[in-house]
Amino acid sequence: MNAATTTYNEQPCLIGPEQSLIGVLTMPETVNKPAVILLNAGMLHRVGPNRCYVKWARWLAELGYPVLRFDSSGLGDSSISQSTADYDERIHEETAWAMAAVTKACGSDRFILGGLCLGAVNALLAASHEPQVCGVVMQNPQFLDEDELTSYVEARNWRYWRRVLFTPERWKQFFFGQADYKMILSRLRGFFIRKDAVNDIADDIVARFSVLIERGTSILLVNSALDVSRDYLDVMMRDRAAEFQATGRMTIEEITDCDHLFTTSDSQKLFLDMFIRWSDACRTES
Amino acid sequence: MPLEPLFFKSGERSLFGIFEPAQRPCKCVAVICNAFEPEHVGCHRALKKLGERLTRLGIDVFRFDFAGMGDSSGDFGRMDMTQWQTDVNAAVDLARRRFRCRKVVLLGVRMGATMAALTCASRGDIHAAVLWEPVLDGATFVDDQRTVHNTPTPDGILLPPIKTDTDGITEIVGLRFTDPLLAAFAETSLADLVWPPHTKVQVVTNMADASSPRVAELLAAQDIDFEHIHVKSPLVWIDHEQVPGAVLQAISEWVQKQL
Repeated sequence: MNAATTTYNEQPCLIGPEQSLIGVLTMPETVNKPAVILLNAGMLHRVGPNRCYVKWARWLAELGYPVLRFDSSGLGDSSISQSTADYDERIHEETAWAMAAVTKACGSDRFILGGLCLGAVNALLAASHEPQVCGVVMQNPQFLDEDELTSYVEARNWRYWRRVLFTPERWKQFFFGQADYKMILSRLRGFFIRKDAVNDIADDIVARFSVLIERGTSILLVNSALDVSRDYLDVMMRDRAAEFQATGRMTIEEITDCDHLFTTSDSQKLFLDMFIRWSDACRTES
Repeated sequence: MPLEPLFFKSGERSLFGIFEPAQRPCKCVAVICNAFEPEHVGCHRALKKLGERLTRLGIDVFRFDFAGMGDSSGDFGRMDMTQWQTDVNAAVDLARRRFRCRKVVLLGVRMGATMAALTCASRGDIHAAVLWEPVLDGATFVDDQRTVHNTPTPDGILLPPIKTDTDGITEIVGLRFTDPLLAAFAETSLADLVWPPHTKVQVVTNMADASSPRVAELLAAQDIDFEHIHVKSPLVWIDHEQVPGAVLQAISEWVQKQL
């Protein structure tokens, strides 16, 4: 996007009662859509992998969405939290501060929370507490870093095994001490984990999806076809994906030729098109 | 001390930066140049930690993002080397005004180090410079990105093959290179760099088989106050989850000694 033709402006944002969280707010010339808040993709700071959060924020601002990208406590440029609250509470609290900062800056009182990888999960956690959230966008959700769950899902990622076992280079790395043996062990361990062991986590996720759907919040789930997040989703949904989609409140999309981090510009644009279609459909319906 | 994020002007562009005031009376300001995309995001955490160490030693810190990278304005593919050198100059001038410091230490990582070195050579007022894993030339940087693009992820996933589209754009790991930008990278090199005699310099290398040791050799051959330290450490521009404590310690101790 050319500096001469931009129809948005960007400002740094200090968030929270102690202004300890740092973000960047991208403001459209005219606000005519809900505000979007993007949550950190894993441990990466607010620009996102391959700078995709920055690009999405600017493209969406061109369409009238104010967008805040901010760093949760301990990530990016934000301070480490002194709070004793548990993870879920802290994510909710910090997201609520971010929403308050956006309301103060541009008056928006309806929000779409979004994120990639762990950011997707955090968006779901925060949204389930916040009635002002009208939409949740989850890209390649990978759930909380529970060892059992990660090992269980990744062991059953057959696409991974197919790619790895039939690649001579991988065997060479394995036999010449160049493989990631820790990861391989973790995946193998997953074969010995029973599904019951991960159902508690799945039940909690399903309950949160149910809360959102009953409240009328729309959910967009986007998976990269090559990514393990599809397998996470299968486990997490507990066979209720079709039921949720039938309510009209959950949309599940897949992008082919797209890696976990949305590296290519084509995949970034495809996601944006999906977002806009979904958001327009939600607004028409409401 | 609270951080002060801001946007500031560099030519036509608006750059993002963060001031981090020193925790005790200040001796100088360190201006930190992050790596170029796509390594930028991986280096962010380590450079933040480096900034924290320096502020504890009584050094003001200013970190900024180059135009077309991080939070700064513009698209990578629309930039050029002149803009990126203007960015370093603008950051140095702003940091010096904000902190009212005469002494400036310029730090950079990967292509950020390359740009820092070129800036040191072109202006005579930098007290000391730290070049962390500098890239000898732009062509090497582009080749490195091609290698990353063509290497499967730990999950065995490969990006689509590199190709040039009808608009003349070559996309490599999501970076959209125009032909003029590729040419600008090809022309950028530290090989003929003449280091200003009064500017002290430390080169920190992590990779024995990269171009950075060659930069160290070139500087060692010049009559300057120079240190080269090789630290075997995680490569943060590839593995962002690691914090290379030994590298950060080596840099902050050297900077402190120069004051």
